[in-house]
Order: sequence, then C-alpha cells, then structure tokens
Amino acid sequence: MNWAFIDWTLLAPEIIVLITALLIFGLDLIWGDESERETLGWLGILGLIFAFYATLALGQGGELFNHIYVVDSLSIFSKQILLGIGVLIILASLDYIKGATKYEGEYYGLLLLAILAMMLISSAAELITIFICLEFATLTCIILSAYFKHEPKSTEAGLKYLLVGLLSAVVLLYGISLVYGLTGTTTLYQIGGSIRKYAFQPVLFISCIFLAAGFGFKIAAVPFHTWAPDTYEGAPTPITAFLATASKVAGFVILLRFFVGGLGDIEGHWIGIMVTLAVLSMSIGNLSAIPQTDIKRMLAYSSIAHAGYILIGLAVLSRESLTAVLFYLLAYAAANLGAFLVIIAFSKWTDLHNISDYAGLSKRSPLLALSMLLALMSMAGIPPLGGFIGKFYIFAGAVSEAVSDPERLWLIGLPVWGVIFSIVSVYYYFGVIKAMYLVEPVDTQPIPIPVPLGLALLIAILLTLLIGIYPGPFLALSESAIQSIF
Amino acid sequence: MIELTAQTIPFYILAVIAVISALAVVSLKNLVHSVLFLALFFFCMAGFYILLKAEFLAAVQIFVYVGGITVLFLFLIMLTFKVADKRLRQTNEQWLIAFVMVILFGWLLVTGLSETNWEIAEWSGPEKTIPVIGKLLLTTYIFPFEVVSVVLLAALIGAIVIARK
Amino acid sequence: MLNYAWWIPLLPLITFVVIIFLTGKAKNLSSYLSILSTFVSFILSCKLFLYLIAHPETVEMSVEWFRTGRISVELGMLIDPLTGMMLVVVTLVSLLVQIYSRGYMHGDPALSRYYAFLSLFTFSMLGLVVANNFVQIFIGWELVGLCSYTLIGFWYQKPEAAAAGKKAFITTRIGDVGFMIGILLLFSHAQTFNFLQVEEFLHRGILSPGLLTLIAVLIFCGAIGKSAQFPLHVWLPDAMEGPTPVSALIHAATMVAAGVYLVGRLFGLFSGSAQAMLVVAYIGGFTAIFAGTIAVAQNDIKRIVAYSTLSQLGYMVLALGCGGYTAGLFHLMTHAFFKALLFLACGSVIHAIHSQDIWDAGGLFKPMKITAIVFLLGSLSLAGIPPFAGFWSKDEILIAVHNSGHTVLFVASIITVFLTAFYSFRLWFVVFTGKEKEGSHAHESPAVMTIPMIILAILAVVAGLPGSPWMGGWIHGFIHFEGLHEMEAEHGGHGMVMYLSLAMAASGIITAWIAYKARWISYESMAGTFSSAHSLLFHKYWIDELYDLTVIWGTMFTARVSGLFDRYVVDGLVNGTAWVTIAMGRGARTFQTGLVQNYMLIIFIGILGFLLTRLL
Repeated sequence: MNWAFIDWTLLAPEIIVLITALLIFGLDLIWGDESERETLGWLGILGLIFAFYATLALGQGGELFNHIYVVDSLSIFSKQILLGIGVLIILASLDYIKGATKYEGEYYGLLLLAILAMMLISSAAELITIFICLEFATLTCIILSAYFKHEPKSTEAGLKYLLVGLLSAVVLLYGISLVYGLTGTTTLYQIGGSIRKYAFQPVLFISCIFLAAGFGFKIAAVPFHTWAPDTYEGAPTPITAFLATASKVAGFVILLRFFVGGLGDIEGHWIGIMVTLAVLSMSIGNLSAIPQTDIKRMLAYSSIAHAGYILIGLAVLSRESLTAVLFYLLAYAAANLGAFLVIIAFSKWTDLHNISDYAGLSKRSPLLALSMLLALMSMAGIPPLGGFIGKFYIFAGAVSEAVSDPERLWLIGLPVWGVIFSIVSVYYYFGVIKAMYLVEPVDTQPIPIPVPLGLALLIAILLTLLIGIYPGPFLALSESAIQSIF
Repeated sequence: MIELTAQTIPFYILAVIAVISALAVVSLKNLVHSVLFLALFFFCMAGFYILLKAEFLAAVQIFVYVGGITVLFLFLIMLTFKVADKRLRQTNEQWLIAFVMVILFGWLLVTGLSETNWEIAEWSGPEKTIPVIGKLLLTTYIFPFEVVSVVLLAALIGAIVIARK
Repeated sequence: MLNYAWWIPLLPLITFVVIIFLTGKAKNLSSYLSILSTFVSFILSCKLFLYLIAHPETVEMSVEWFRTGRISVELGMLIDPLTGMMLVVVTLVSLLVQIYSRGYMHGDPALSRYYAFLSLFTFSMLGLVVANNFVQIFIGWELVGLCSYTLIGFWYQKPEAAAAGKKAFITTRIGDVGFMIGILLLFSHAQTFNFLQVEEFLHRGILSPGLLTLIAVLIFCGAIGKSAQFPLHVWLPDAMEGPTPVSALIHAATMVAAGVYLVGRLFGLFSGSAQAMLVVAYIGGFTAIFAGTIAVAQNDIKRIVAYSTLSQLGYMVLALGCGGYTAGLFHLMTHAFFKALLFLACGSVIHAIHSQDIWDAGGLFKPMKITAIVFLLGSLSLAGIPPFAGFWSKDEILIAVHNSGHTVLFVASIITVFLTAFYSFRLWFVVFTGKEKEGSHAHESPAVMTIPMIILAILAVVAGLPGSPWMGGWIHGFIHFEGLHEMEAEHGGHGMVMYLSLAMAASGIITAWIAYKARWISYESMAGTFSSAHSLLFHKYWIDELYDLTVIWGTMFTARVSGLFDRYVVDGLVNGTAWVTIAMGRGARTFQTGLVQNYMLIIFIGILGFLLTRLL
C-alpha cells in the first residue's frame, strides 16, 4: 500500500469530530470550574458544524484502503443528517444535562464519539470494519443510555440494550463469518462482484437472515425490536431522541449499503425478509403504540412502525422507492426530533412522562404544543408536512413498481397495509394532541423553553414544514445519494 | 460422512470437550465451577486455532481469554459477593422452549452448512503467521485497527463514568 | 436580473410567519411590520413595473417544486405586463388599506391576528398573480378563500360575522370544484400544469372544440365563485360583516379580482372557444344589470357599494367575454382604485356615525369635508364621468361590447350605466347632503385614515389616463392579447357609444338629484307605488331565500339523513374497528414483558422463523 495515494481529506469530517471529542475529554480534565461544562457542549456543536462544513467539500468522494472505506454520495448524505442531528441533540442537552450528572464533559465527548461511530458506519464497506463500527456505535449508545446511573430506569435501559445488543452482535458476526467463508473476501466491493456465483448455496440464505437480524436490531424492526421500548423509556430523553433518529439513519444506511449495494444481485434471497420485517414492524409497532401511557414508550413503538414503512422501500427495490427511503429518513428524523425536543423541555420542567400529563399544554406553552402538534401530524402523515410527502413517495414507489411489473403485483399489498396502519397511527398521535388542546390543564404553570432548545426546536419544526412544502431539493438530494449504490 | 484422519481426530476430541464444557458453564450451580469450565472451553478454542495453523490467534486466545477474562471473572466473584459456595439456579421457565429451539437451530445450521459446497482453500501460507498478521493490520486493515483504538477509548471512559461514584 | 421579484410575494409571507410566531403580543409592532413589508413589496412592484414599461416582454422564472414520476410541479413566476400591473395594484391597495386600518381598527384586541391575516391575504393574492402554473394559482386561490374566511369572520363573536365568513368560504368552494375538475381535465390532456406549455399545447389544436369549451366553462366556474358572478354572488354582500378595510381589500384588489384575473390569464384558453366566450359574456352582462338593480333599493351603505362591485365585476367579465381583453383588465385596475376609495370612505362614515344605514346619516358634508369630497370623486369615477378613471375604462368596455355585436348585452350594459350613476349618487346625496341628524356628533376621521383615501382619490382621478386619447390609448399597447388586435377598437371612432353612455350617466345623476336632493318627487311614494318591484329589489330577487329553500334545505335534509346513517351504521362499524384495534394493541403489548430473557427468546424465534421458511 502506498500511503502517498491515500486522500486523507476524505476523512476530514470524521477526523474533525474525533479531535473535538478528544479535546472535550482533555479540557474536561484540566478545567477546574465545574459550572462551566456547558462551554464544552458549545465546543462540540462547533466541531460538528465544522465537520458538516467539511462534508460539503467532499465533492464526488472516493474510496480508501481498497474499498474498505467509501465516501460516496450516500455516506455524505447520511453524515450530513447525522451531524445535523448531533447539533440539535447537543443543543437540547445543554440545559437538560446541567446538574443531572457529575460527568457533563464526558457526556458531550461520548455523544460526539457516538456520532463519529455512526458516521463511520455509513462509510464502512468491509465486513470487519462494519462490525467494529456497529459495535462502536452500540457501545457508546449503551453508555449514554445508562448515563443517569442513579436512576434505576436508566440503568435498566443500558443493561437491556447491552444484553440484546450482544445477542445481535453474535448473530451478525456469525452471518459475516458465513459470508466470508463462502466468498473468501470481506470487502463488499468484491463480495458484490462474485456473489451471484453462490446464489444457490444454502449458507447464503442463512447468512442473509443473520445479517438482517443484526442490522434489524439497529433499526429496531420487529422481531428484533424488543430492546427499543424499554431503552427508549429509560434512557435520558436527549439520548432517546438520538437513538430514535441517528441510530435509525445509520442502521438504514448500512442496510442499504449491505443488501442493496453488496447483495443487490441476489435480491431474491432477502426481499422476502424485508417484506416480513416491514409487515411485522408496521403491525406490531402501530398496534402496541395504542395502549401506551408513557409518551416516550409510545414514540418508541411509533419509531418501530416507521422502520416498517421505510422497509417497504427496500422491499420494492426500485430507484424511486430507494430514493423515498432516504427522503423518509430525513422527514422522519426532523419530525421525531421535534417531538422529542418538546418532551425534553416538558420533562425537564415537570419530571412527568405520561401522555395524560400533557393535558392543556396548549395553555401552558402554546409554542411547545404547536411544535408537538406539527411533529405528530407529520409522523401521522398529514399534508402538507414532511411525513406526508415521505409516506406518499414510499407508497407511490411501491404502487408504480407493482403496476409496471405484473409479476410483482403482490407488492401492492405493502402500501395497502401501510395506509391501513397509518390510519391506526392517527389514533395514538391524536391522543396526545387531544390531551394538549382539548383537556384542561391540572397545573397551569407555564413551561419555560431554554434558548438553545428553542433554537433546536425551531430548526426541527421549520425543517418538517419545509420538507413538506418544498420537497423538491430534498428529493433531489436523496436521489443523488441513492445513485451511488443503485 | 465422518472421516477419521490425523487432522480430524484431534478436532473431534476438542469439539466434544468444548461442547461438554460449554454445557457445564450454563448448567452448573456453582459460579466458580462455571468459570473454570469457561476457561476449559477457551482452551479448546485455542486448540481449534492451532489445528487451523493460526498459532498467533491461539496464543492470543489463551492470553486474553484464559489469562485475562477468566481470571478477572474469578476475582470479581471472589471479591464482590461471598458466592464461592452459593448455589444458583441456572434455568428459568423458558428452558423447555429454549431447548426445542436449540435443537431446531442446530439441525437447520448443520443441514445448511453441510449442504453448501464450500470452496476449500489449499494451505499455501507462510510458516510464520505473525509477521503477516502484523503487516496486514498496519496496511490493509489499518482503518478498522485504528477505529478499534477509539472504541477502546470510548469503552474506557464509559466504564469510568458508569462505575465511579 | 429580475430576481428581486421573488421578494414581492415572499415578504408578506415572512411577515405573516413572524407575526404569528414572534410578535403576536406586540400589537403595534406587528402592524408596523406588516405595513413596512407591504411597502417594500410595493416599491419592488413599482420597480418591476417600470422595467416592464421599458421592456414589455414575458419572463418566466421557476424552480421545480416536486416531482412524482413524470409529473413535475413548479413554483414559479410568470412576469408580463398584466402581472406587473396587478402586482402594483395589489400591493398599493393593500398598503393603503393597512395604513388606514391603523386608524379604523384602533384598539382592537386582536390587532396582531388582523395584520397577520392581511399579510397572508396579500401573499396569497400575489402568489396567485405571479403563478406560472395551475397548481400554484390554485393554491393561491384556496389560500385567498381561507383568508377571506378568517377576515370576514374576524369578529367571530358576532354570529352574523361568523356565518358570513362561512358563507363566503363555502359558496366560493362550490365554484372551486368546477375549477379543479377543469384543471385536472386539462392536465390529463396537456400533461403539464405550466401556463406557457398549456398555451403551446392549445396552439397545436389537438383538443376537440367540445372538450375545450367544457374545460373553459369549468375553469370559469372558479371565477364565478371568486368574482361573485350570478348565481354564486350571494356571499359578497354578506361579506360586509367583516371590518370595512377588509371589505375594501376583498372587493377592490384581491379576492374578487382573482376571478377576472384568472379569465385574463387564461384568455388563450377562453378565446379558443366561442361558446365559452358567450357563456362568459352573458354571465357577466346579466350580473352587471342584475346587481345594479338590487343596489338601487338597498339602505345599507356597505351593501350598496357591495352590489356596485358585483355590477362592475360583471362589466369586466362581460368585456372579456366579448373579446375586450384590454378593456376588462383596464377596468379591473381603475375599479380597484375607486372601489377601494369608496369602501374606505364608507368606513370613514361608519366610523363617524356608528351605523351602516344611509338614513341614519345625512348632511355629513359639513363635518366630514375630506370624506365627502373623496367620496364624490369616487362616485364620479364609478358613474363614468369624464375625465375620471372609470370613464375611460368603462368606455372601452362599452365599445368592446358594441363591437362584438351582441345587441342585448349592449343594451343591458347601457342601462347599467344609468343604474350605476343613479345608485351611487343616491348614496352620496342621502349621506352627505340634507339636514344633519339630531344628536349626531360626526367628525372627520384622523389623518391616518384620510391620507390613504386622498391618495386613492388622486388615483381614481388619474388612473384612467393610460386609456385616454391624451396618452394615445397607451394601455392598448401595454396590455394586449396576441391575435386579438382587430377586436380592439380605436378610441375616437366610437363617439356614439361615448355620448350615449355619458347621457345615461348624466341622467342617472340628475334622477338621483331630483329624487333625493331636490325632492321633486318623493322616493317614499315611488317605493309605495311600485311596492312589489321595490320589495323584489330590496330582497335581492329573493335569491338567498330561494337558495335557503332549495339547496340549503336539501343539503341539510341529506345531511340529517346521512347523519343518522353515520351515527347508527358507520359509527357502529368504526367503533367496532377501533375496539378491535385497541384490543389487538393490548394483545401485542403482552409480548413486552420487561424480562430481557423473553426479549432474546423473541429474537431467536424470529430468526428461527425466517430460517424455517427459507430452508424448508
């Protein structure tokens, strides 16, 4: 290997995030005054913004170390979303974390490392690297979930995430070793080139299932979702928001890169898995969300359901539907962040988490209530918000593929199923809206919104609106991103 | 189907010991005994590596797992609770369904793996694997190698944050 | 080069967002923001207008909004002289109305909401005017409808206001259904929403004449609703329940103008079908004379002006239907100025006497000189007396109608000239001359209200000049439709039409003077003699009652029946489904036990399930 030919600038965003994280750890050690830790958060934001700026300069990208690490439009797209999510999460954490833990500086550092891990996932294109990066992300997320170690629920969240994560890692590793055993190589680039030869080997079926199970854990698709409700409920709320958005984005990107990019030639092996995961996730996610009383738990199930809608796009496997996958991720992340940011503001002030506690929020804080309303309406798929356009593209992609190919007419069942369960989802989203707007508040005290959180909320809600009202550029972005693998 | 040659006989012996010791780990009621069988299991793994001519891995396996992890387990058990002579139930109400699943799972894996036409690689590698591994880790796989160092850093800091009072 | 044009509609939108989200509590700040942004829009519009005078060309700017499959929908601007003129008119009238509202709405507790929706209204109208495709114009169209609902029903505590808002919204929606079907029908053939591409498509002549007529008439339905043409005119007089400045905005420059503008914008479509043009012309002509007669017998000052708006809109539609493209749109502009003036002056009167009945007023000339004079100027312009603005544009219309050869329509429009002059001066004489009422403490409105009126009064006097021979009929060169030159007429050659209309207008004024100023004949006895006719006119031809008895009663009846069906059959089904869903949700939850060993088991069962289905 000739080191001179390695284009290190391709790693600039990752390096910037890593250096910022190390800087935070270092400054945290030498900084005497405990009360000034908020500055480290701002430093993190600065680093993320710099890294975002660096992604803009990547241009067409390229590959590093013989296709072990690829910087293509898909990974740049994903990194930009992740960095954006990171900025919003830190903004929301500044006030939330203050005084809640002794280790404020490490919190920001670990959060940056988690973002770094997910950025690495979106570029990793070699089995060992993928595994290491996935475990890196899982590890940081576990630590962050259990961060409030004096709260039993937070510890429980971390522990369950750890145990189920270990199981899924084992399954994933088994799948990876089978693929390696079959093809004799670990880079996706070479696997993709030769996989057709092995199409009829039974082991390939097994490894596809194991891999889907491993990645399905990341995106919390049924039946690999079981950790999500407990972890989402117990983790510190900014971390829940982070898990529900960033983790899902990274999971879907690696799912796309692995199955569509790597195993695209043998799609018959895994489309059935995606269909099953999609149908199960939509059904179980939406149905389980209905009886929930805890708002974070409700959103956990709703995020499982959303993974189901997105999986439709993978099952359909057309240019249109895969574009829709990325578009949906963007719209989903914006709306979900909006909802969680409201929860952060609300729970920090009241320390309450039940849906019924949101009674009369419109009177206590009209801005929070309005943001929540828009976010939930977007997730329910009500025009003209981002979620509606996302669902529309996902379903339209499935329908147009089904109509154009008579052999795949059965695909039409997926959007039908999706529409039915979207309607179901309106029920539980409107439960919150009803509480906020139609029920009289028990406690009429207004709820203050910290300025950084308000800023993050404004960005998330405006983005939700913008994606819905003017989807053109976002769609173009998704389309160019998907071109690097399909 | 089962051929007995100079290479397969040690394999089967090791395999039987490995399975028995693994079963012992999850079924014995004394924690210390479990850990000791775990060490035995790790030894068997090292044996497999030697059979596969991966001496370096075998050494690492013994250093890290037997020398490091198992001993750590033992220390933990001895120091934290007085469980050395405590007897713990290792099963729960799921044991029957788990048993059925393990059987099904094993059967499916065995059929799947044995029906596959594996491409058998001819051993053509060098006698000494350590320089090759070292070179690969610092050239081709430099990237995951470096990532691992960051992972370790995260784990370290995480452990401190979670464990310290 | 023309990139600044984007800001013209965007500024009011931004203002709306800012007021709603940020400055809602600061009422004065909100109003100043709104006025400022409209002012900047107005300045930009003027800049654009001057550019268009120098370079009368069509410029299209657009970005793709979204695309699904092969359908691409744009957000864009189609800038041509017509757009330029409309931008100036809309922003100017909106600006003056907003300034005037500072006085009229002084102390209203919901001032921020008022200005927010005025801004949104302005944005919607501007978005509609600059639209380069059907989707965008339809969105602007619906937004205008929505804003009219919120503004007419602004004082929603008053049940009449709330009802009027609802009526305006629902009535115009009826027309919109036709509009939407028309758009989709056209799209299904042309495969594009873009105006210029549609025009190109029409030029190719693939569309059968019958279909073309159908599409044109369907789209015209939208215009009927928005421009309050017969038979969907009923919402407009009721819309007087809103604040008077809102009436001025809706009636002069925005909502009702949208319908006429639509016909003008799609004139290529309409002129392609003679039958459609005939429909347009007759609807317009009928509305003109029909509303004119109603206005004669009304006593509510705002309703009189409202019916005159109906009548004048009828004129514009009539002109367009007769091929008088320039005439109709020219009248749209002049009318915007003098009608906004009349409404603002009405508001000034109402502000002074706290009543809308003209018989409660009287002798207001002395205490309210400015209002009286600007009102007179507006009325002269409305009546079509030279050299006021209304004369030039109305003359163009009459010539266009005369040239088209529809004698019935020409006679109707000439009679309407008489009616217009009569009712407007009846109003003026009753309100401003005669004896002052006892206990009246009428006084002139503050400067913040009079100055906008004075500006509008100046425009009501001079806005007609571009159509006068002194400027060589400049408007014809500026706003014209390709291929229609032969139907437009030279001004001088139609003296007969001009003298006839002048004579009618003059006799209208004189009749009003005889009946209401000089009192040579008693209008009370006139009303008594022709009591049945008066009653018919006073009750607006009983149209509202007719609708109440037929359409509304029928709808309500159907609604009741379907309500019963809904309650007992559909609700039963829905509740049943909901119950089943909730029960299933409870069932699904039982898997989430909280025990991590169960979770792992579920994962393994999942993997095993997949393995079994794949390998067996």
